[in-house]
Amino acid sequence: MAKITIQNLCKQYKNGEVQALKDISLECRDGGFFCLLGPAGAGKTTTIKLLAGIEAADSGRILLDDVDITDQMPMHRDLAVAFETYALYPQRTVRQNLAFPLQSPLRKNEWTPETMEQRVVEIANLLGIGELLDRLPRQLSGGQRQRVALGRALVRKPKAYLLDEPIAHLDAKLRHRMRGELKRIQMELGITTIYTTPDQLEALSLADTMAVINNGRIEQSGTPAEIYRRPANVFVARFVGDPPMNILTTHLVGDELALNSLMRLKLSEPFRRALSGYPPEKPVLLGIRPKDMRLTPPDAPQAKLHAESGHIQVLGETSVVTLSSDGLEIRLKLATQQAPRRGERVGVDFSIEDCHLFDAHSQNRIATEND
Amino acid sequence: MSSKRYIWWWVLPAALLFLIIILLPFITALTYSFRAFSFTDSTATGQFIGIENYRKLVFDQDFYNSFKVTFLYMVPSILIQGALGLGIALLISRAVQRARILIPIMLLPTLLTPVVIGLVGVLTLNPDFGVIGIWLNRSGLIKEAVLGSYKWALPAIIAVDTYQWTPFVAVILTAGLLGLPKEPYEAAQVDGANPVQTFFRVTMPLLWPYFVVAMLIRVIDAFRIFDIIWVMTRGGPGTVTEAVAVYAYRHTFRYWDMGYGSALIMVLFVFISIMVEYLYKALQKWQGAGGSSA
Repeated sequence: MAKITIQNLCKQYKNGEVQALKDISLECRDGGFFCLLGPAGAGKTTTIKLLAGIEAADSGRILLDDVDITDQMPMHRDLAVAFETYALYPQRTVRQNLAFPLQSPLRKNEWTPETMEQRVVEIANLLGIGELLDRLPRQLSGGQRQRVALGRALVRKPKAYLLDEPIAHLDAKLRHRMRGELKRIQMELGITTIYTTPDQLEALSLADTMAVINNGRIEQSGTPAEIYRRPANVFVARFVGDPPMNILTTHLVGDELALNSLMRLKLSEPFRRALSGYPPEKPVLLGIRPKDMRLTPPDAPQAKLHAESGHIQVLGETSVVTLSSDGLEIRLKLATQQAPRRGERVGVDFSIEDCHLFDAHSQNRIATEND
Repeated sequence: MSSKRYIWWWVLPAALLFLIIILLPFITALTYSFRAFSFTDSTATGQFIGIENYRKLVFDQDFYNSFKVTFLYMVPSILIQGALGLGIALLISRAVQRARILIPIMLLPTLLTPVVIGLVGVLTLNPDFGVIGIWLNRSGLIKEAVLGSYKWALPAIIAVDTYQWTPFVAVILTAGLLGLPKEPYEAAQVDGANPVQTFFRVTMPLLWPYFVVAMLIRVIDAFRIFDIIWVMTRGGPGTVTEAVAVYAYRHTFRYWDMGYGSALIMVLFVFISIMVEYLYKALQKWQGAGGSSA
């Protein structure tokens, strides 16, 4: 049980050639499930390694329950890590791997051989690797190894779990199940968890607070709902949500946004106020999620945009349609039975209330009074 | 598919080389071992005598003695070299970040020919002017000439052999240590393992294959030791340092009994083959068990 606070953490590699973390600050409440979401190479694993104490921070502080642990040895931090690269002990069986954290001299009198075995079997069964206890890591598939790595973290009850993409290499079905299991375990034990993932859906569904990290910087942090509804910049807007948000480069003309000659969009009152004083020569980025757009007949009066239907990706119930108009590409998500034929002329309608505006230079959100 | 037709041409140079420098001498020795062939006996002119040489060998007490000497030398020297090599490897791979630079320097004794190393041994152990010999004499530890002593000649050879080969073992193990994956160590840190646990449960199991290779090479090499012994003691005093290869050399090139010498070499060959095969399997099995005895 612990609150984790990260303050202004910086980390360089190769004598400053690589800036892995640039001034990261985060807070994860006691018993919280915190997701760190970001693409590959964003700095997720580095953050986990600094938290665990495997690598030393260049500057900044890490607090565990308001106690500075920045310079503490990993073994004294009492954190459990599931490594993205598994980091299993190659010459030890699954059982020995799972029992290893319990055999630490730090926990000498906590476990008897019987309770240890009981705990190992319990965790192995939970993760569906109960049959594999006597195998060596090299005799396991990638997904099985990953579950052993996760099990080695879950086997004890530390102050916090640090899970680095712990289910990334499982097959889709198992991943879905494990997501539920993880959330359940975490809620039951109430152990603070920091969880990294490149999968926005995983972050949105698991986290109670989360942060989006990119290029070693925190782009935005907050609850999943906040991040989804009010993305702080274009990167977050496009990274969270699938398919990514459409971003159109428009210009302010009076109280309308103009997209070349293709579209004229009348601004709502909150947007107009937010844009008052915005230089008219500077473009405004208009963001709209694929699910917030509707198809209309091409001649319908409410059609805001006209386009030709291109590639159609059927995802079962829903489909993602790519529309093109004068070099512009827009993606739409709609029910499969409403999908147009390829090459069909269509109209597109959406509501200005569903739009997000971003500054074209800073890429940051142009906030309105509704935010 | 034409490449398949030419495949034998590609192999030919290597095959020829193998034939000329390995297979031919081997077959020659093999045929000699079934002949009476001695330069000092006018009746032994190379006539075929079946397994007579081998029969003689079975009843040869000196031959058994040479085997005993070989083992008395081999077992301790390999154990010492393994332990020392591991210790040195652990030290330098940890203390020196760029330990690779040290490797060629460390290998110097191993790169010298055993004859030179043997001479170094002879000179340093000389009780009158050798650096170590004088010291041993004056301190009263060993009153006699080390290499002339029944008690100390073999230990001296073991020491010199260790001087030559410990760096070799250390280099293989250092290379192994530097190449080990670092993830299990990170996990061990987080899991709260102490250094002893980490050594026995992470390092040793991972390093084991390198250890096996180093020890195997040493066993094969130690079994046919000749140069160092020949330079230092010629098998003496008496026969206390007369290893199998030295004994075979004495028969072949001192007594000029090519037939009997060849038979001795054949036995040595068969013995090494069996031992290597057996050792390799045994060590592999141990590794397969996960090194769990640690």
